[in-house]
Amino acid sequence: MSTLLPIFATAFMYVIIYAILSIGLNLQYGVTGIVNFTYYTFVAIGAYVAGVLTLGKPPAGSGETYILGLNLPFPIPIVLAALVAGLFGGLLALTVFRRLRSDYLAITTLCAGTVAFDIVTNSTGLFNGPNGIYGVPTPLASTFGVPPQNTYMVLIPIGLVILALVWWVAHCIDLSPYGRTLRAIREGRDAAAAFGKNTLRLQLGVMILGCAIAGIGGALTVEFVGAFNPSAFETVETFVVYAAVILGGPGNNLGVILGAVLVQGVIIQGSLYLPTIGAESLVPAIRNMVIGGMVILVLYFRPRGMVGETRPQLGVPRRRGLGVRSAPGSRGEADS
Amino acid sequence: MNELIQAIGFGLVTASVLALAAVGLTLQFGVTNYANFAYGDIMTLGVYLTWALTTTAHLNFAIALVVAVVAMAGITAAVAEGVMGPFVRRRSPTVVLLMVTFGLSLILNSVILAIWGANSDAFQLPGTQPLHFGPLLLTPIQLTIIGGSIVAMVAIHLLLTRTGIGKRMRAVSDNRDLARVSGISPTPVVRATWAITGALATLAGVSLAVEASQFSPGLGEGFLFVIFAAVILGGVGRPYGAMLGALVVGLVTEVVALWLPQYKLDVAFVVLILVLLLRPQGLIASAGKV
Repeated sequence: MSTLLPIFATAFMYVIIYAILSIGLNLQYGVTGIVNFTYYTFVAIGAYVAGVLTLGKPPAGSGETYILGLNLPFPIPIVLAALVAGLFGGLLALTVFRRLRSDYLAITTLCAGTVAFDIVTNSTGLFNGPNGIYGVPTPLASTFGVPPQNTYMVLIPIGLVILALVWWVAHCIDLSPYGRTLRAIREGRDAAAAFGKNTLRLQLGVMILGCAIAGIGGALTVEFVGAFNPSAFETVETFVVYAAVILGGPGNNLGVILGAVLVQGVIIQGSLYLPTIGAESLVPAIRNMVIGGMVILVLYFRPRGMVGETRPQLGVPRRRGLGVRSAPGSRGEADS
Repeated sequence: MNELIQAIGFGLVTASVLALAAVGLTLQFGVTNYANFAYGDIMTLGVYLTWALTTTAHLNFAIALVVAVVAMAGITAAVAEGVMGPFVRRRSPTVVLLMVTFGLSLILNSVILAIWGANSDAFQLPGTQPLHFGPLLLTPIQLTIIGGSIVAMVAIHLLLTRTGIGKRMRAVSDNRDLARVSGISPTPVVRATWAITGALATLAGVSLAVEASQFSPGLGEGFLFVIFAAVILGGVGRPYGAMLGALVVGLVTEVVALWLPQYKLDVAFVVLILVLLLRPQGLIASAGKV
């Protein structure tokens, strides 16, 4: 029991983080239909910002170099991580959210992710280059006298509170006229614009909010793991969050939490304890094939995911037996 | 001054690799009307196939390359038909098609990792001694890449202007509905386009791997954003635009490398943002593709 508890607690903490990330991505992809192929870059921004704000100055002679090192107390690093990640998300959105098709945004986000990777790796003065930052202390651990190997004892409650807050914000957006307009943009941006909606501003808001939530998830990651390095920029990291959203149910905040439990809790955490067969990279490679394959199959056979969006079609009164509900994958730009 | 001439020389090599890749990507983007995020991994798969043919099957490099190009044309067309086909026939929204190609990218990359592992490999080729052309130093390999790329571009030009399938590709790319009304069935055109895409991706990938003197499973993915920059600079679905875009991006990256060698490819991102802000339709405008 004593050996199993840390394993389950660690998996549970990752599920909490990925549930937060999935809600943020769901706002962008599931609700508004924005394809951001570098979502995890904003997680990385949040993690790095929270890391260097929590850490003190790099110890002399350690060879480590990073900016700031302000030694700020919880929860300031998490809040600032959200703000900085949101700011970068907004900047990226501003350059591409004019009257451009969804491909262009996806391409630009992909490019931005590669550039962010290059900057973080090459500018060693920023976040310690390819080695990344490490030794980030867990917030409040010393206050409550929690031993370093049991950091989940403080972080799971903090994570659950943040998850509840993030879910509540997303839920309120869901029910508000703002959320309805976002869905209208997903179903047809030109139509929403024709009804006098400022689609640029609304999409910008979603981009900022979603990326800020990514930043919060990143901050929690770095405070939990204690370290962060540029390998986080790999495509698969972003894809895992998409998998949680798509399998769980795009547009449904509880659905994407369920997706995070399935993808992060079962598939990824579970595969860590599989025996190594062949080369070291073989099990992760097979796992990624399974995740990629599942996403493609679900997109085809069950575009609504496990738990579909519960809202009735725009302008269609709720009726018994109305099978088709709006979700990305059911209708939209038919220019393919 | 000599350094600038040398940078321009390297720029022509990069542009040649980029032109092969960008033309392959833009042809498919134009004909099918969605971006393919698995393109980088198709390139990498072509490289590993060529490498396997030279090392495991002990084929001569040139023969291995030809076999790989033909095989990748078939594989790409088959994967596109099998995976993308059902979504396109269902008229899935662009967002979903992009996600499917993103998933394909992960799957292809995992297949490469599972078969060949994560380490770097290299082609053992002769012709690495540089030749002098005044202030310009280029290896026979680099000259072959430039020459091969020019031949491929001429071949693409002839295909698009002199053959029936090429003309049909241009018609479908310009306006699919109009092409259909004129009696052109898009299905065989789309198949042929994917095959050409796979072939060009393989040529581009092998050129990139040879030019970089080593390759790893992340080869294509790391280069994909530069290809997209060239494609959008030239205007989506415009093969001649993509050639021009490749030339511009290739020269700009190598000239910038004189001052910022570690960020040379990232300049492509600056080019992309400038194009999107100033001329989103690309240098060579194409109506209805923005």
